Amino acid sequence: MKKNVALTLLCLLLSVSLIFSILILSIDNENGSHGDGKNEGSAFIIWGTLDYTDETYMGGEKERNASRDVCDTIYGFFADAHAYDYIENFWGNDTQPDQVYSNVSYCEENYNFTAIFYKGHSLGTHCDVENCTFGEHWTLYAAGGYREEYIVDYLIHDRMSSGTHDFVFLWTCGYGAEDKIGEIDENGHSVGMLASWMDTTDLEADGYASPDGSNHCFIGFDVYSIWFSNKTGYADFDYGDFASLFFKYALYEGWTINDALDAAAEETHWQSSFGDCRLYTGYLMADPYNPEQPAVCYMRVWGDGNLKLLRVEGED
Amino acid sequence: MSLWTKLCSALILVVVLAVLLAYSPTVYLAESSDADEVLVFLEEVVSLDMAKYDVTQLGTSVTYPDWLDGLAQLTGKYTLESETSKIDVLFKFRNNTLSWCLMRILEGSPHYLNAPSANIRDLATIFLQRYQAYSGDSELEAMRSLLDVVDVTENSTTVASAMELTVSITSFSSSFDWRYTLDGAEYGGVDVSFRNGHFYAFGDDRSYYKPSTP
Repeated sequence: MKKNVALTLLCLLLSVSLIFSILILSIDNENGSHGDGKNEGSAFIIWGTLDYTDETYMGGEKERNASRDVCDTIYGFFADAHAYDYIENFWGNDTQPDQVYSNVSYCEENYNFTAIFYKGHSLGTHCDVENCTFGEHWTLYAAGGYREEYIVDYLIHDRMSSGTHDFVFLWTCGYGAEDKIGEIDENGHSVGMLASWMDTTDLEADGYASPDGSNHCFIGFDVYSIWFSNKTGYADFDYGDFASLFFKYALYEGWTINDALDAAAEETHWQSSFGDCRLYTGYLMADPYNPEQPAVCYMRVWGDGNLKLLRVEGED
Repeated sequence: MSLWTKLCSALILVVVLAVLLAYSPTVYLAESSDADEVLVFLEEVVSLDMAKYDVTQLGTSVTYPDWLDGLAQLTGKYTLESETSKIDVLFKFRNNTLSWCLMRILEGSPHYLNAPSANIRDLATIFLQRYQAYSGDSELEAMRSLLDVVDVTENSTTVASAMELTVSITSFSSSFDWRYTLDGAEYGGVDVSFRNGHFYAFGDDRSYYKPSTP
């Protein structure tokens, strides 16, 4: 009888201890995301167009569906990481120019670190700002795409206040090229996506091979971006897998942008590093301006490849 | 013992157990010991003098990706630090075998047991020799033989006895990729790259890779 009572008491003690330990952990986790300053004030936003109408140069419905699915997956990684205070997946109908601009303002004013991922297309335009000397400006397709209202470079920059868009990854054509990074004039008028999103034109051109320690990193494409639905040639991987694996690894504790690029390249390409992979060394894409001759294209990493998306206290 | 004493003792025990359960290490011992194999690889194959470094393990996880058909993938990172040298090391184990390792030199020059050769062919040959000694894999002999007959100063692809060696020289790195091929199908292989005269990255997918159909 006494033995039974003792056993019951022991079980009771262990159960109560378990409940308390869960309570301690949940309180600790709440503090981890806000109270102790760790990862405090971080935002991550996904934007993306719905327009993949052209089968030959946009990839059609297959590419559109792949874009939707990969953006969902990436959003899930950030949600699971519990490291960001504001996470939104605005891919699709919510990618409206005004929505983009107001989110730029909101993040600049409220977070000390913002990461952006955009999937879509690029187009040139002109601006009506008085005394603008830049000539051509650059845009991103919004939800509606071609001939709808676009997301314009200088209108993004107009919403800058604290310069805290520290990681911007534009999976679209052209904006990683040296001649497209842009400028900011003495009146604060900008051209180019890198300059407009990041409020700087002073990043190292090869932030993968030579990280500049700026804590700012911009990833874009030189010439044409590769489609998510394109196969990498290893196993059954495609470039959507590369994108999602990149973000998965970038959210590992202590991992940098470069680490994530390497790990994603290794897994999807059977190349032992991003530096050995064709995204870095050059890949061929069909060129609408010269159908006979494919264009050599690159993924470019500007700035600081040692930047971490899973930030710790003291990193601004 | 009075009822009050018994209640106090029980309460203290509950608190102690709760704290112990809450803060017990979440790192799995099996993962740590598997990951430690990377440090052996770095010493025996890359010839790093590991005694000179303080080693810290960072983000590490075990996953079961669909493409590995149920096999485990252990992915992680180490930082190696001494007063004059800082190195990041990434790794992946698949099917319980080291399948990828990348060494990023962040500061200073690495501490070596044996200084690396300045000759790229020697670097690759010595890497294969040491990898063979480390893994006990006699297949690597054929890879060394093929390496002996190719020009390692320019990009090339050479095929001999169902093995293809691709040499890629870029401004970033020099890489060597040995891959088994048969009737148009690609089988597993080994690749290694060097950057600025140092080991940079290595991969070996032979323990899990299923051949593609032509």
